[in-house]
Amino acid sequence: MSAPDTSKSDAALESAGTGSVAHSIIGQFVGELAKQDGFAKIAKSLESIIYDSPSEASLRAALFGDDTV
Amino acid sequence: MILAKTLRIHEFRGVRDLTLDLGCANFAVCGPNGTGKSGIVDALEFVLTGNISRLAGSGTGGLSVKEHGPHVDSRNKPQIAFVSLIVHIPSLKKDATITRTVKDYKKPTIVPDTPDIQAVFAKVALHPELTLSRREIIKYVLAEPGKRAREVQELLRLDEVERLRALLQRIANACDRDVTAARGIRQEASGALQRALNLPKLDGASILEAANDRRRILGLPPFTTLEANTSLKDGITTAGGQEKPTKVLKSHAKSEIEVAKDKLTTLGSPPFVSSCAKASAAIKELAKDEKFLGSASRVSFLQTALGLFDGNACPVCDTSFTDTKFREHLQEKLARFDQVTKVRREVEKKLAPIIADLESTRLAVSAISGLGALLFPAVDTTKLAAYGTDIEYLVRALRQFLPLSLVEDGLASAAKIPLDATKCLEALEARVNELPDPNQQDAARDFLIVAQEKLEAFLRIPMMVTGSSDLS
Repeated sequence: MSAPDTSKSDAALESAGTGSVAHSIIGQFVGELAKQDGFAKIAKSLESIIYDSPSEASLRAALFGDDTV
Repeated sequence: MILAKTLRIHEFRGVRDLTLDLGCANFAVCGPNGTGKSGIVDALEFVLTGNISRLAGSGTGGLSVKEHGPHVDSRNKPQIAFVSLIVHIPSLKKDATITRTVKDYKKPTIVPDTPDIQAVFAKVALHPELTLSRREIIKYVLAEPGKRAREVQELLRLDEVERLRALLQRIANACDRDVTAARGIRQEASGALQRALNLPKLDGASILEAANDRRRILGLPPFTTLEANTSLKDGITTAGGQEKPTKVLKSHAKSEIEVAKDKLTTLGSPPFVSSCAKASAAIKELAKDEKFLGSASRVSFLQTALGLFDGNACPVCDTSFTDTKFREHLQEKLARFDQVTKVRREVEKKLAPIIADLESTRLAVSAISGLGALLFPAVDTTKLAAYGTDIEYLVRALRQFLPLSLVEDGLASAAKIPLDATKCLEALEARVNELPDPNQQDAARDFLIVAQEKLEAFLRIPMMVTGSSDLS
């Protein structure tokens, strides 16, 4: 049995936020979200703010768009 | 991974000058109190991350690396305080040296300064969890088995993840509430549209068929598709003279009045009265903890206090506490908050159907209270409108939940329908029944005008509710 290919996810984790353990976990969450149908765009906008101690308002803007804040 | 070969500490913390040959192996430091054992751990953390978490962490009262990093005799000479570490990097099969001065602690000197070695040190610097203080380790060892997971989160500096989780959960809860409210509005709007069109089922084909039947009577071309911008009354101004201003359409008014009567009957029914009584009993039980419930914001305050605790005294009032007692004291309070919050959720579940019934009654009452002024002679519906406003305040009190006394009062009055509002409704119904039946063309025109009005109201509902505006 061969080991699973983790090269892609490792690369994603390394680039997630500062690379700390907390940011790696958050990066995994964003990565999984991006794989869900219809959530790729949301994951992308979350990615731009999620590692920078986002406020509730900025999370809402990333999730639902600026006009909902 | 990196392996520590040699550590040099100079004028740093309690150490004047020390070189340790660590030999890339595990090592332990032992000695009497105050001989600088922790200083060696601080030095390792400092040289690798630029930080000393024991100084800059929570509960340290604003100590800083720059002011408190140098040896006490070199406090004003941060430029001479430094730590240097020679490491072996197995993945690169190379040795490297990193040196950091307190004065310029953000810019370490790395030799050899190649990109691959820089990358290794940059990655290590991002892991503050690599050093654990004695207090953190003892806290983990003493933690009850059920609380170990939380302690591990703290050790790994995962508070950022927890903060994010809490924020996302808050947003999710708010969305749930918004969706529930939007579903209620959607249900009302779709019911109003269905009643206006007199259809057993609401879909695009049925709406088109009902509208085209009336358009045929007026000699207007039928629609083949129903688009978002389709106007069912299109062409009315040229077909039968001027489009009439909104007036009371007898059949529609009768059906709206029937709906309002049904809703009022529901509010007076035994199941509704019984639901109110059960919710009221639960509220009375919860009232014992109302003060606790009202200070829910203290949860984060207590959690912050736990984080700020230095092991000796309460961070707020400076009262002396042993580590265990302080934590037990705050954990007990947090557990009570958890318990009270669970009970609150249960009571809110009991209140939800009551709120839904009241809200749909309010919408039905407000839909007919405007009819009075359109009739000739007019019917005074002020009392009916006032009742609608009372329900609105009542619903708001139930939704806000606190103070509980308002919820209790609201539940006690929820099933009581004011006599003057009932009389007002009877007068309105009698007057509507007296309206002459319109001729076929007038009826078709009124039908299309009212249907269009209700269709527009339905289409205005936010798309956040799945399929809310889908009439295909």
